[in-house]
Amino acid sequence: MSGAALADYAAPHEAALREGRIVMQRCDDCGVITYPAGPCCHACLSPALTWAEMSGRGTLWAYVIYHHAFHPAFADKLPYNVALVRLEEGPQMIAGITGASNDELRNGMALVARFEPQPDGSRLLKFRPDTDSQG
Amino acid sequence: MSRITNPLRNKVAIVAAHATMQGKHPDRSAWDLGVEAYRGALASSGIAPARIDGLLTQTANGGQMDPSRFGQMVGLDPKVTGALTYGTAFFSIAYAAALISSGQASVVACVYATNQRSHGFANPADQIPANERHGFFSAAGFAALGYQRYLHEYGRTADVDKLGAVAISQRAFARLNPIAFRRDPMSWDDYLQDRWIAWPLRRSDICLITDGGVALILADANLAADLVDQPVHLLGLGRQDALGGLARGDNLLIPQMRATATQLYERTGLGPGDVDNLQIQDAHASVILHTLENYGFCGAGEALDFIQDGRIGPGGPLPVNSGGGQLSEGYMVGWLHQVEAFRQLRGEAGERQTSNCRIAQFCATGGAREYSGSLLYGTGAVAEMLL
Repeated sequence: MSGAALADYAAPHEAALREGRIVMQRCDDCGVITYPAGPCCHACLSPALTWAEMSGRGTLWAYVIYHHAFHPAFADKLPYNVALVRLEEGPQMIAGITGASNDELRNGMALVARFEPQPDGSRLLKFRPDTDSQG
Repeated sequence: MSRITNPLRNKVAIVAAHATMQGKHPDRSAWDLGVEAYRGALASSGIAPARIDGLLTQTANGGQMDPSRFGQMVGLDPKVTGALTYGTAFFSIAYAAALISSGQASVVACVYATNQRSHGFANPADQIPANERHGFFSAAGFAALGYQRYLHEYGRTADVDKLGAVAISQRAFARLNPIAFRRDPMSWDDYLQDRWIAWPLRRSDICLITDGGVALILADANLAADLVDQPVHLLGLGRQDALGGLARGDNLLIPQMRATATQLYERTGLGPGDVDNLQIQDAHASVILHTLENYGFCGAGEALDFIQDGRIGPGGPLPVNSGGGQLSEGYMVGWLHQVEAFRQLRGEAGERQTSNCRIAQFCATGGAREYSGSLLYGTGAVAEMLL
């Protein structure tokens, strides 16, 4: 660790995302997932945490359609969606939905993680409709 | 059943409130705007600077409004000096009330000023860059997620445009407020032609950024009547936070406000039906919906209908943000709402005066929906009645 920066706690999560996996801290004592990452389990305060891979499955909790580019990198993507996705393990993540038009987005729709290759060789987390799901 | 007590009953009053013109002040520092507000609060109340024994500031962009430096600037040697960072006027008022009710200070000046419109706005340190790579920007993102979820939960997605009643009502009030930044008329046509920023929110649903300053002076309620003619009494407060943020739990509709409401109303023996003038810290128009419902001004899922037909506008039965709010008056993170409540309860609000205004309520929440706080204010007659 380089210090007390919150980014240090999140580094394994971020590194895994760039490789195409979602990992989060699971408590060895009570099993609860802590996200965003930190020095202890948010439920029981145990410091015994193990990085665990999430299934990538979840549901669409809420979404936004941006029509304004707050950063030039998004100017050619308008209008684009951003969703709050509730993972089946519990935590909620922000990510875009792909494989569905903005008009097709529905609260509660079943989603699965899909990692998109980026120009720098890393991957970006997105979710797509989970057509295999009963949801 | 244990009797609920109100620790702030007859403890604290606002004795002065002053706001600068809101808008663009490119040649002025936050310090300068803060001094103007402070000077105005003293001048309008006749309170001598020597009476100030507590100084609280809310720090602003670029490290401005540090309380020690501000106190040095205006020649104060108070008993207590303190600061709270970016957030809401609620924090400073609750802090001042704690200082006064515990006897640490008796007359506390609270000052906030910023020149963030002209000189840039530093985001709080807890912004998550991880979300920005997905294009999730600005506190408007949180509010838009909340409004979308709201529309879904109550089956009102087809009525998304009805939110316009908030911006239109508040603009109508701002047109009656000489210090408001946006005073041009806004019709339904204007609103509906306005562009989406983050659907379901339009530009008009999102707060302004302005330069300006506000100063409040709070005093021990027993001193208040000796200091000024018409003190405005703090009747009580409530506060409940929810720190799971977006990552954990269901905080989008700010449900912790319900616990805040229960605290506030039980402590004071008052309820939403007693409120003559409602002040809601409106980072976004949709916060009005969540606040009206969670505090019980209307039922869950009813707010989009409740706000129609001028009900929350000038002359309506429940004036909301009668100074114009952060959508039209200026963006002082809830500070201007205190000035407006103070003026309304003293009958000094001119053309936008709420008739027979005896009780006002302020409700705060943050852009990331992590806290909620609320205050009830009353005239001297109301405070006496509650004794």
